[in-house]
Amino acid sequence: MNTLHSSLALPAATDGTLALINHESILDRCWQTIELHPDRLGIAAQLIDEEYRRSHFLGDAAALDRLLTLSETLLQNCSESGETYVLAAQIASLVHKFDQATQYLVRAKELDASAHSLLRQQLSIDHAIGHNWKDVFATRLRLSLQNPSLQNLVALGALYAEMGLYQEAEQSYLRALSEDREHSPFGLAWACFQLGVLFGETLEPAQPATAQYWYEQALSYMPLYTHARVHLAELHLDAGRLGTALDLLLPIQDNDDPEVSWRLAQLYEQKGEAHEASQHLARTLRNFEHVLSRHELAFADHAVAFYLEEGNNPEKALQLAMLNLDNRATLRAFELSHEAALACEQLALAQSLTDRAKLQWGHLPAFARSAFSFSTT
Amino acid sequence: MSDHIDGPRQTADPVSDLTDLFAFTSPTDAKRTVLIACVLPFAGESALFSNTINYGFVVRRLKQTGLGLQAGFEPLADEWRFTFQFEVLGPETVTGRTKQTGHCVLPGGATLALTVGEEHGFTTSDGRTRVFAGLRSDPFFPGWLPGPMKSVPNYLENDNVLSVVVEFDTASTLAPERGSLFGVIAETTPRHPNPKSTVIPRFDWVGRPEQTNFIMDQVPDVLDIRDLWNQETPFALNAERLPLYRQRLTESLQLWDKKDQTIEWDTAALEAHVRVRLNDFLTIDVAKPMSDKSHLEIEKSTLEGRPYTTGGGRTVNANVIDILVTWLINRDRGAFLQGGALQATQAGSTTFPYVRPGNKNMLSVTRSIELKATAQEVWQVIGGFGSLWHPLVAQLTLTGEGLGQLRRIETIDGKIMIERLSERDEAQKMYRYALVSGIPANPYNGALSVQATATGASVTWSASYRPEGQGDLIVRLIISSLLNTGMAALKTRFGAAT
Repeated sequence: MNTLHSSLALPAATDGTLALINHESILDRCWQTIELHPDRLGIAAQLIDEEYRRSHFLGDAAALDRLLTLSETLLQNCSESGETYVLAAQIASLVHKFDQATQYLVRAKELDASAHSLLRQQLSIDHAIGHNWKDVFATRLRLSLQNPSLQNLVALGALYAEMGLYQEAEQSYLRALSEDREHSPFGLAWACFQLGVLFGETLEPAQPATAQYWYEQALSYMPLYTHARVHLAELHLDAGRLGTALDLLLPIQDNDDPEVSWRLAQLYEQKGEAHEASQHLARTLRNFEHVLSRHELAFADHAVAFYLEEGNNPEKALQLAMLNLDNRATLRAFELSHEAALACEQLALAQSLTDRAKLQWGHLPAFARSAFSFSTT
Repeated sequence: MSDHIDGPRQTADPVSDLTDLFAFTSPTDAKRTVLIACVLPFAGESALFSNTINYGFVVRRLKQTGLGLQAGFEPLADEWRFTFQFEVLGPETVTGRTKQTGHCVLPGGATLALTVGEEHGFTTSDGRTRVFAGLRSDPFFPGWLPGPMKSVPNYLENDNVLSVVVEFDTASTLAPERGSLFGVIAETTPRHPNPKSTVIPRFDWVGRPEQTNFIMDQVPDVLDIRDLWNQETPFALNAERLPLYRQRLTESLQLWDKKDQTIEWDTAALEAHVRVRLNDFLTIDVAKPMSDKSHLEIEKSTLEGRPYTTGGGRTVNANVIDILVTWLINRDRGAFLQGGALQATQAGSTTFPYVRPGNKNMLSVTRSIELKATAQEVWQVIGGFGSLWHPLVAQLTLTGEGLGQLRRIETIDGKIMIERLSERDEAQKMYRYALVSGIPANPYNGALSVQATATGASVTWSASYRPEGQGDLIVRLIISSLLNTGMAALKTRFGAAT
């Protein structure tokens, strides 16, 4: 892969602190307004965007709770509007309740919601659950040609990465950055983060230096980007740079995102500070149990990795992995289930998963690069 | 919504989303011209400007090129720019965050420094130009839903925006003796454009209200071209894309014309109207009087083949939506289409900076008590909207029935409060009400509910409100006393659950 980043002048963006102040001011204002006017769907749409930002960039799992409350409010107060059901579908998708989201879209269509919003939401669901992937790809490609916005290009890049077309994925992400259509640091940080994931976790073998560069760029746009800090800290941990990893994690150590405390537990373990490590591990367990009790489907895949590793509970990992697979039969979901099945020494199940994965995803380049290509089951 | 959220890109980056543009002669000094632009729909109290975006006004002298079916306006070369730029925040101090600072680059290149939120603004040493930047109550008040043409109350009620305001001496700035007709636009552009960027460096621009949302976005099942439009260079649209815009405007204006089942715009008139709209700028004549009614008068008169008589423009209190939809639907040949919004949350002021301070967040007071009685027993006493159970209430009379019912409360010290029932759920044992008058707060919404508990019943009484006419502390005291006394009375009556 060609690391073009050295020649790419990254676009300027609104200072991350200013953007965060505005995000919080809008969020606060919109909640105030929706309490007074629960029928203002434009405000509700804005709230979904802002709460999603909190969840994605700041690791605030409570944002999902607030979104579910919003969904109930909308369904109670505006049940005659098709757009209400589109918004409810969007919220259901964010908590990975894709069946429910699909039902909402059916109702939205009955109530004459706009074709454009129905298409967008259906596309998002189909992409997330690995359904109709050829149509999803064709639509994502068409949308990014019609409107090469950062959102469309990053979504296309993510799809390329899932398909195993890594060069195309990189190009799509880089184009999202170079088009310079955004000045919001949120979107630009997201594109950089996706590049970090591509080079640090998706590519085999990984290119940690390039991944580090992109995570650092994400943080230059949005210094409190929790997931970027966690992923970058992981790279430093892997390289033995414990002090640098700690510097990244300390500013977000109070965050209830279980990945933060998990990474801290690993860090203290490496430092040989067993007491600190066990405290953070216990907190990680509590935080995973809490988020799973609230939004099991949304956090199942994240939790699988934990229970397979420090969480040391392969049975739970397998149960969550199968739940996730039933919900969204993506190649990644098959991989997680397969790994959990092997950890539980359920070889017949592992073989069955391999067969199913091959049937559904065997034609994609990603399959040849997946765990299944090394598997003997 | 004027120019609010006009395209997917604006949703992604609301701090660059222009919501409105106003241009008018100062009502207190006819020698001065005022330009106001607003951004960031739904801004909260702490909202700030981006440090990497230019917030600009561009004024061009215009020539009227024809009347009637030949109606048109041609921008001339004379151009004036006012560009606001803002900085990042300084480090926090023990007294809190420093205020955001910035400056306005004036025509000719001089700069005028400013601090965001300074109510009186900043003036050049020669007094010619005055500027303001900060949080304001959203001055826009749409009273129609455009698709179904449903009359609704202002659906931006209580919203805030960030505003930039510039007021300048008209004669010395614009030299109106060389022509007093001008086109005005507001735009947001990158402050540090990426030299390698292949796209047009503009986030948003606005001329006449509703060019994008009410007009371009009202044709069903077609590609949303608002993002494309917003990247165009004002006064110089891309010639290759003109046919696309012309077609969209034509289709939309035809749909608008048909909304009252009669056709007022024949093909030739529609073509002229589209031509005028393709030149999208707020048209003002600084030598003629402007008022809340003069918005679009220049365009309308020109299209009807007669000389215009006002300065056009757009004042803060102009009801631009009703003026626009009436013109689009019946071409001013039928009744004025009055929507459900008569003014903004806070009407515009006649003095600088003309737009009002931001609406404050609602405050709330909540009191709960656990009682030694069943929920049904408690609800029987307090659940009626007309129940007389509160010790501070001397007399209570009801008017009407069901939702909307009014209760007039006379307190033991002779004060009168009127409240309206807004929601009632007998099964859930709760009701909500809104204050009509009697407490210095607006709005004021209350809710009273009873729930069964393991040991009896729980009563919750809450009020959310915004103080009006009195300080926060006084209003909170009034409301707290009301709720506390009520809870204490219930405790005496039923006993507290242990």
